[in-house]
Order: sequence, then structure tokens, then C-alpha cells
Amino acid sequence: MSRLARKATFAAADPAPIRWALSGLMALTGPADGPPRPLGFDLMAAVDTLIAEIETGAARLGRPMTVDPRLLTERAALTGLTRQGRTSCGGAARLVEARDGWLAVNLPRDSDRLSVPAWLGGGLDEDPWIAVARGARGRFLDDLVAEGRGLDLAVAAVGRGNRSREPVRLHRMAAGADRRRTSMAPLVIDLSALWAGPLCGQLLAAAGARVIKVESVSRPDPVRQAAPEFFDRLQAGKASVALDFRDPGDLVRLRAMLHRADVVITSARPRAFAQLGLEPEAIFAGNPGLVWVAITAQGWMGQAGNAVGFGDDVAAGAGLVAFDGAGRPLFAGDALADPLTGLAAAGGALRAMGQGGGFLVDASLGGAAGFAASFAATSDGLVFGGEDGWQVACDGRVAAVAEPRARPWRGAAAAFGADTAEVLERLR
Amino acid sequence: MQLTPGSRWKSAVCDTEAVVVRPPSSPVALECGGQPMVAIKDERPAGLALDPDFSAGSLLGKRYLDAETGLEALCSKGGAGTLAAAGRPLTIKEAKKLPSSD
Repeated sequence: MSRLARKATFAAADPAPIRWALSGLMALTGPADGPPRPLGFDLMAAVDTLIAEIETGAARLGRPMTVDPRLLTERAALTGLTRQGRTSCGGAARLVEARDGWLAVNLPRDSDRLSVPAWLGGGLDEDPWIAVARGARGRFLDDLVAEGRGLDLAVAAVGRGNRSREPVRLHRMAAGADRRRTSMAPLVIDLSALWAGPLCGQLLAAAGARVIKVESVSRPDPVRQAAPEFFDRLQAGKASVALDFRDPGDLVRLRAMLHRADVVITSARPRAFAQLGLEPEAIFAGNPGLVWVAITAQGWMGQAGNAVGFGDDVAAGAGLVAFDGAGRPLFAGDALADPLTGLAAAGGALRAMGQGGGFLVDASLGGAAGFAASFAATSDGLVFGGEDGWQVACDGRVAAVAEPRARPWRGAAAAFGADTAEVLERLR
Repeated sequence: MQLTPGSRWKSAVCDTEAVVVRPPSSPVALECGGQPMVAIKDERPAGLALDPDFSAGSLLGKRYLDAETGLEALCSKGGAGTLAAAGRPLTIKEAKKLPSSD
């Protein structure tokens, strides 16, 4: 989409409720059998800010580009997800009432459902959501979150996350290096999976980087199988390398790639790298100009680095929820913290590269969602219409609630491991 | 030893702590470092030492399995001892699969 076309669609003069309606996110917010709901935040102003940092950073590196905000809704558009109220669009997360507020619970992995009896009691063969609803009702949010996180569950107290003034944090790890003399495209090693990290890598590819997606043969990125068209949007243009992280030889090869990279993108927790002997301290010692983009739920540093979180539960934790007529929360958008974090991470990576590297870009879902939640909206607008089409009116403007859309297809993702031999040959 | 889901245990001889995720199909003793584990709130018995045959260590965040009884425990604090059930060292479960859709 050209810059001009985007301005036509998202004229900055439009009030927040109109832009929310036009974004495609509002259609993903609200009960399945009722009207889409407003959001009490100027989310698209936050998105503008994140996109401006990417476009400025890319231009500063001599690689001007534009970012198409339809990326916010493309997973839903390409996989047919719709709004489901207090169940996330993807279906794995729910909002559950606790004694002193609301809890966001996400159980996307088989092992999560098995952990519910250890968290809240209940029979081993019982529907885990029945056990969660019953177990949460009489208990306090702080206890539910602490005990759930102790079992590696993705849980958050709705609206209790920190508002953040910065979408990402940059931690100085090494002196940096002057790379302005080289005209080569920056080399990005993308070790991340799912949505936020891969989106960051794809935005860096659009800014002219050479991006190599590296996957573990025992733990490949599941999106390739689960949502192929969405995977293409996030991966087209990246090379694909498959390594066996349990094999000492492949670990040596991975370490060699990290020592040569300008940027590495990760989405695992710190302890996963510690257990592989790939701590940032060691990698930066051998590559002082590196930019390490660390996607986490709640930040890389300290105890927070152990937390598990995904796009829906973290967004709700940060308060990015809508409300029904009774004041009960509803999920907003589809895994909203994921695309926000991908944008924030790419902007932070470009900024760190522009300063010569030597930084860990601490890009947490909680930080990006908390940043978006710092943009308050002054009005909700008025939602009217019916099943044949919903509209929003605000400050004399009227807009139809737009369906989720995807960015245009730009090619297929490389087949799993298609470039392994060639990339390893070049590294020798 | 009531190994109910959610029950928390600590090693008598090292730093290891564990949470039971799946109970055993028949009663069994959960051990670490060659000694029975103790409930998290209890005092450690005095005079016990780490058995060198059970000193391979436990790793924070890993899930440990006893194939014979189905007992599954999540290590909530790593230590020097090996987790075991009735003398059988527990095995590490494969890393949790990433969700195909969240």
C-alpha cells in the first residue's frame, strides 16, 4: 500500500473510534452474537508511532520503506477468525472472573491443559475450563497469577500490567562496531517462532536485510503447518535453515552464525539459551556490534524472564480490553500484543543498528501492549446498525466497521530447511 | 507421601524443588539425590547426604516423568540431586511443543 493510500484510509485527523472501526480490529472485538465494541484507547495512534519509528530507522540506514497496518488483522483475515467475546479469536484464551477482578488465562499447549489440576485442583479428566472457572472464582488475582506462572501457565490479571512510556528497552551489552563502511545488506538470524519475532524479521527484510530463519528440527515453527498463508506473509523472502540443537556440531554452526550476524531475533526464554550455552554475554563478547532482539512475555531481565505469555493474555493483562454493557471485559483484536510487539521490536532493532549495535533490544509483549495502553481515547463513539452492517459515529464522522484484512501476498515462504546446505557452506 | 496434583516438594539434600503435575497411578515415593523428598513446608531431616549415584542434577522448568506410574513433576527450582521414583531416575519430557495457534 502506498503512503498516500494509507493516509486516505487512516487520516490522522479521524478520532480514535473511527480509526478503530476502520482498522479491522473492532470487528474482532465484542460478543459473537452482538455488536463490535469500542476500545478505550487510541490504538491506531500508538500504531502510527511504532510505524514511524520503523520508517525513520529504515530511512536512516538508507533503506526507505513503508509499513502496511493491515498486518494487525492478517492472521484473523487469513484463517477466518471472528470475535468471541470473553474467548479469544483463536479460541485458546479466556477471561475468567476471580475474587477481586478478572483473569486472562491462555491454554494453547497440550501441556497447559494437563497443568490445570495442579494449579486449581479439579479432576484430571474434567474440562479444564470448568476447573478454571470454579477455581478462580473464590481466589485473589495475585495468588492465581503467581501460582499459575509457577506452573509455566500464561496467566495475567486484566489491566494490572504497567503502562510503559517506551515500547522496547535497549540494554547496552558491548561497545558496538562501525559498520557504515560495509555496503553489504545487514545479516539477520531469526530464531523466533509464532508471530511477533517473525514479523520483526520480516519488517527488517523489507528494510533491506538478508534474513535467515533458523529452526530446530525437533521444534519447528508450528505456524508453517497451522496457517500456511499467514506463514507466507511472515516468512516470504527469508532463507530457511534447519539445525538440530541437540547435536554439538550444529550448535557450533549456530554459534558461528551468531558471531557473524548483525541482528539475532529470539522468542525463547533466557534459560533456554543458558541451557544451550548461548548466553548473550558470551555472544556479545565475540560480536560486539550485534543487536539481539529478545521477544519475551514480560521482559528478558531477572525473574520476569521466566514468565510465559502470548498475544491475547498479555494484551488483556496490559488493559487492552473492551467492555460489555455490564462492565465485564472482552478480548480486543486477535492476539493484539503479538503484532504490536513485532512492530516495536523492528523499530527498536533499527534504532540499535543505527547506533552501531552492541544492544539487547528487550522487546516484551507486556512492554509493547503497555505502551499502546498509554494512548487514551477521549470518546467511545456511538455504535449503531445491525447484522447487515455495523457503523460508528463520532464527532460528525461516520464509518462502517471494516472486516479484518491481510497485506497482499508477496510470495511463498521457503520450504523447511531449503537453504541449510547453502548457508552452512557460505559460513565455512 | 500424597503426590496430589499441585503438591509441592523439596529435596532433603539439595536445592531442588518440584510440583506434582500428574499423580502416580499407584503409590510411590518421590525422591531426590537418593532421599525421599519432603513437603515444602516441612523441616528437612538432619544428617542426610546426597547419594553420588543420584547426583546428575535437576533443571529449572523441565518436566520429569516416571514412565512406570505416570508420575509427572515440574522442577520449580534446580539442584544437584537426581529426581527419582522408588529408585528409578525420572526422565525429562521433551520440550513443550509450541502452540499451533494461540
